[in-house]
Amino acid sequence: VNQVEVVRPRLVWQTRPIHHEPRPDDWAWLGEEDLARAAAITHPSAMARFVAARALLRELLAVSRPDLDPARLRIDSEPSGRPYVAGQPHLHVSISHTDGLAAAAVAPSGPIGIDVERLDRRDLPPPRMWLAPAELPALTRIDAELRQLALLHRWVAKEAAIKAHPYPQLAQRLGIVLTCEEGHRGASHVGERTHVRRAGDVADARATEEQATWAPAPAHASTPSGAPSYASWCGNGLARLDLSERRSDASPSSSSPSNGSQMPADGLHGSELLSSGAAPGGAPHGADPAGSASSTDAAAEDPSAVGEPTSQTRSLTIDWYAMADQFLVAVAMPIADGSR
Amino acid sequence: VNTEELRALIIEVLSEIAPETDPAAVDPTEDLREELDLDSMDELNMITRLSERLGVDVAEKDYPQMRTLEGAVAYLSGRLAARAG
Repeated sequence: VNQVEVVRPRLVWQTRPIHHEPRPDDWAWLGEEDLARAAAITHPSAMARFVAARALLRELLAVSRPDLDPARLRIDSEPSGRPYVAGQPHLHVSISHTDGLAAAAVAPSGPIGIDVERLDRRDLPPPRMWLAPAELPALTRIDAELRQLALLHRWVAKEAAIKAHPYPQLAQRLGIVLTCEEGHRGASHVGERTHVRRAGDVADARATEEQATWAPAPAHASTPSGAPSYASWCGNGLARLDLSERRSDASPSSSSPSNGSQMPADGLHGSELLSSGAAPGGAPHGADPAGSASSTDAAAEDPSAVGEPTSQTRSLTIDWYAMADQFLVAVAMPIADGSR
Repeated sequence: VNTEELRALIIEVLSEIAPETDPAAVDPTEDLREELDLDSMDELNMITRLSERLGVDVAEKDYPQMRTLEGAVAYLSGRLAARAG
C-alpha cells in the first residue's frame, strides 16, 4: 500500500537566540493577537521566548510567502497545540524552543516539524518510555559514550515527527520507529536540502552569524574510541520514520513495550498499522472544508476511510543539525515513497 | 493513597523536575506545561516518576489527561482504584 504522495516542499527554517527580554526589533514582527497573547504571559522568560519564536516565525513567513503581509497573518493553534496560519491551509509551520534558543520552520506544501534541544541536556526519560522496541537493538550497538547523544537525536527526531504528523494528537512516541536507510546516505543528499537555510532566505539577516555555524549533526559526532561510530548508525543525519496511526479505540497494549514482538526487526515493513480516518479533538487545519486539499494526508481525510482500518505507513525524513556543540535541531517532513 | 496524598506526591515530583518553580501554587485546572514552563521532556519525566512511584502504567494515549494538577489527580486515582479492584 503506497498512499504517500511525492512532496518536495521548499522549506525554510531558522533559529534565534532567546534573551532575557524580547529584542525591540522582534516586537515589530508581531500581529495583534500575538501582542495580546504576549501581554497575558506572566513569566518574563516565557514571554521573551514567545516573542522570539513568533517574530522568527513571521520573519520566515515573509520569506516563504513574500506576497503576504506577515503582520496580517493570524497564527493560531490546533487542539493538539500545533500552530497554523489561519486561512492558509497549504502553509505549514512549526516552532520549538529550548533554553536559550527558538526555532521555526515554514513549508509551503506539506507538514513540517522542527524541534530544538540543548546538546548538554541530560534528563532524557528512560528509553522504554519513548523508544519503540524495534529501535532498541540499534542503540545497544552504539558506544556507551555516544549513546546519550544518539538518544538525544532520537528524541528531537520524534518530537519533530509528531509535529509533522497529520494528526499530532494521535501520534505516540512508542509508535514511531526511527530507522536509517542506506539509500539516504551521502553528502549530496544533505546538500540538496541545505539550500533551504542559506542566509539569503531570511529577509532580515540579523542572525547570519549563527546561521553560519549550523552544520549537519554528524559533523560533530566524532568517535574518540573508534568504531562503532555514531555516524555509522545514521548516515548523514537522514532517516526514515514510520508512524503508527492507531485508532483511538485500539487496544492500549498495542503501544506497550512488552508487546513489541509484532514489530519487524527493521521496523520498516509490515507493521500492523491502522489508518486514522477520524481524528478526535478536531481535524488539523489542513483538512480543507472546501475539499480542495491536496496535501499528503488526503487519504486519511477521506470520510469513506472512517471505520475501515487499512495498513498504512507514513514516512518522513529527519534532518539533524548541530550548532557549536550547544544545540541540536531536527527537521521532519514527509518524503516521496518511491524509494521503498 | 488518598486524593490529598496523591496531590502532594504530584507536587513533590513537579518540584524535582522544575526545582525553580513553586508547583504548590499552580492553578489546579490550568495546563501544567504553561504554569510551570514544562517542555515535553519534563512532562514525560513527570509521568515516568509518578508511574514508578505509584506502580501504575500510564498509556501514552492518556498523557493529555495529566496536563493539569486536577486532571492528574483524577486520572491516577482512577488507575489506583482500578488496580485495587
